[in-house]
Amino acid sequence: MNKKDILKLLRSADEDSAVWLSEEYHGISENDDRRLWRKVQEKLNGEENYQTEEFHIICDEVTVKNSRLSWLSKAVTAAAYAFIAGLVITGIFHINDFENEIDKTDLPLSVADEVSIPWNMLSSGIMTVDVKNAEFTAEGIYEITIELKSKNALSVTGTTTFMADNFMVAYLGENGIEKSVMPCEISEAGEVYPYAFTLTDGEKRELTLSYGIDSVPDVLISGYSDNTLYLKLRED
Amino acid sequence: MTDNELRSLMSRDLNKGTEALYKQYSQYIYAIVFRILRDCGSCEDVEDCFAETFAEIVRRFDNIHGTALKSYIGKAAQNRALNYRTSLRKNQANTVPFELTEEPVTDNLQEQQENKAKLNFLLEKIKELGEPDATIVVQKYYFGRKMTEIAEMTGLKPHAAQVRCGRALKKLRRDMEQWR
Repeated sequence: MNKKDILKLLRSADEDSAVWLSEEYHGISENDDRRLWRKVQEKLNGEENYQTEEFHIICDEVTVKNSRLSWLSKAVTAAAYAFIAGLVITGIFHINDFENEIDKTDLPLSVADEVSIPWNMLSSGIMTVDVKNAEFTAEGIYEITIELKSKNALSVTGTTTFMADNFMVAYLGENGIEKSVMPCEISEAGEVYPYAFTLTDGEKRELTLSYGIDSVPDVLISGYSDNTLYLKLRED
Repeated sequence: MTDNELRSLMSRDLNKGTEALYKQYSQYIYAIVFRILRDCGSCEDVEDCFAETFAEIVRRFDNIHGTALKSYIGKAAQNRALNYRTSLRKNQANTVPFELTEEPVTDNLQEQQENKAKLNFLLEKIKELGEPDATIVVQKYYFGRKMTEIAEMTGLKPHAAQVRCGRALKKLRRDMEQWR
């Protein structure tokens, strides 16, 4: 059987097989999942023109329930603001030498203590991460705007997005960020590209922030499931 | 979550119910919609149809009585996707590339059984590939995803995913020679 026959056979999957394939092998990937859920919410919130009255009745219900939920969101946001403010006041993420062992009790988003962040390319200096803004978006995403400052006073601003649930896990959970962080890719123009994934234990992902300034090295933000958000500078 | 639990949650809290419904049935709906639209629509068409289908199911949820939810949802997804396909085809050019035409439905029952058994054998062999190879093969050749996306899903580098994909396909070819 050649490649073409195999592919043809695979594509001839009947409904049962198609469902099995989708359920077993992530027909909807994690990235798709967020996008699809957002599309569904858009449809349900009546952002597109629907023709039936019946639908609008349902939409109204959804809106009402959403507005109830928004109180909860506000309460959570208020708590989160207080928490973030604590982080800002206490100096937030300080970068120590790369040689420092990562202390798992140093949780970047759960306690207002100093956080060890490995910095393997530049031997000295301090880089601070200042939280400029933090709010829930309509999609239930907790959006944090941070400012990264390097030792030579060059500064960049970027946005990192965490799912609200994950943030709450970070706030409430025993071990801080337990499973996932969801950062964004940031372009030179400062646009934010949501970049969602879930990290399993020990898994590591890196995101590159590019500023378009030759003299500024890239900053890699790596989400780790060992409860640490890593920031490090990379030489060009 | 059972049908009754889902119905009860939907009537108690539409938001949570919708979320639970999505978690439970999104892959199922997507599979049906994807299968029907794969050869005539884009990825965006599949997603739009999925979202429309799901919204329609939520809209009509109170009217679903006396049927197993899964059957109703499956049929709803199928009908919606078929309608979507019809409208897509109306908007498309009259000519369809040969490779995109549907497989002719054979009326030979024995042949159908044979194909089904062969497909099951293939799926078994794909599963035996283990992870991440099975996911790579299915994502590439069934869902038609780009290697960069697959690499991200599987946590591999694109080149590594590509190499694994080639090897897995070779293995499948050898395995399929065992078929009868």
